[in-house]
Amino acid sequence: MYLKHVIRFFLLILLQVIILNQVNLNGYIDPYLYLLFILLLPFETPRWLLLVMGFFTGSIIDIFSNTGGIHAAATTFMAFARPGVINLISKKSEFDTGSEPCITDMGSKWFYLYSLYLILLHHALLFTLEIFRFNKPVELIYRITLSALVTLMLVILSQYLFPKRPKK
Amino acid sequence: MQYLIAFLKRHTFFFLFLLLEGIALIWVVQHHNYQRSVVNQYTNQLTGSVYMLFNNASEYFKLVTINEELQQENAALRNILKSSVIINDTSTAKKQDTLSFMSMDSSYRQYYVYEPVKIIHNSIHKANNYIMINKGQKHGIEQDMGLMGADGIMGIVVSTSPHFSWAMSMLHSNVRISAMLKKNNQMGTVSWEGNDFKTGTLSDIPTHINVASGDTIITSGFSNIFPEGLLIGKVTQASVDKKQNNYDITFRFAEDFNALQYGYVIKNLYRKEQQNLIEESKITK
Repeated sequence: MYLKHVIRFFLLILLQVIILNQVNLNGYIDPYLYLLFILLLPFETPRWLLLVMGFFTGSIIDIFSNTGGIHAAATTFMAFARPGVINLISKKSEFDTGSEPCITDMGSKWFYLYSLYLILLHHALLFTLEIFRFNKPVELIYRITLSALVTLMLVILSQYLFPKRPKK
Repeated sequence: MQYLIAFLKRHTFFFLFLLLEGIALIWVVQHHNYQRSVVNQYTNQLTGSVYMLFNNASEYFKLVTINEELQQENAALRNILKSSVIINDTSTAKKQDTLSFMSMDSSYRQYYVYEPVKIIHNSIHKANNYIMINKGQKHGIEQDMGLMGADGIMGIVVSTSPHFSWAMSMLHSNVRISAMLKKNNQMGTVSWEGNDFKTGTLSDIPTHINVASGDTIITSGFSNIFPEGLLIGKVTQASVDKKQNNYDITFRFAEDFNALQYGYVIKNLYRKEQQNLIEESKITK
């Protein structure tokens, strides 16, 4: 079922661009829920396609928020790291066919770790590129951590609000 | 050659990553260096249309506040009309209303023209913020025109497409605006340190000048972008930087960047002439 992912892609982009980009919490926190799309791509996704999707998703966000490549760079990097992170945190090397990287299939602990690592990597590169100058390292770390936590919360919340339907 | 191809094939994932990441990073650097260029003029049309769609929907809920603001601004403008002022000069006493004042007075010459625009997209919490407006080249909007709201200046237009334009917000690390203190006409430079959307920085004011909190900061009119005397903000704190013999002044923006709705693009009708003059003087040096 590719349709599910296509619909999810458009919904997440719209949600990000129209609502989340306008949200300003405390001046430091920017949640980037759109990367849920990359997180939830099936395990069988070819690795090259993962990279292309990452680049494409990031580029769309960049075009809409006039941020010139920083989302493309961060999301491509995140897509690159995804197979490694999966290997790192999974005990089994083989997954049941048709299983997806979501709470329903992989359990909550696995999913929290998986999301946390990838979101942190993404946000770290994103905010570093955005600030571009390293004169405020403390503020940078503060922004990365807070935004990553809020994004993580939204990602987890979305899993409970829209759980994957069990197969018939 | 065969080995090379085999090698590349084996590591496709890594090389594809390098390629895409490279493209993205080049994009980042380009964008950073040429923020005032027309790189995104092809995408403006798309993003503009999408923002326009959703802005129309959300605007409906803000109509009351918008109306009140416009009414207040109208009242303020009425107050400075010629007809609201008593002129004792006998030579101008005949001209009773503004229209005849404009058309008959030969010494009157239009210098700046204001184009009303709607803000359709805005951000305040990035390191570099942009504002998108609903007018572009077809309405005569060009790069380096100023953007102001009812309360104060907002930014500078950096790229245009036929129907939309992006402006660099005052909340942008590249913003440098020539400003002055209203009470004594002391010149300084306004910039933004990236801290929060309410406060900016005024630099280059020497320490022998008396600066107090509450002082008004206005545009100097020396930049060819903004006319003289537009409100920028009010000083909140002034401390002395001992190394440079200058003040470090933080001020509060007059415009609330979190609630931008309408604004005006400021067209300087003599900008080309002024720019040419500057160019010429550079060549002869």
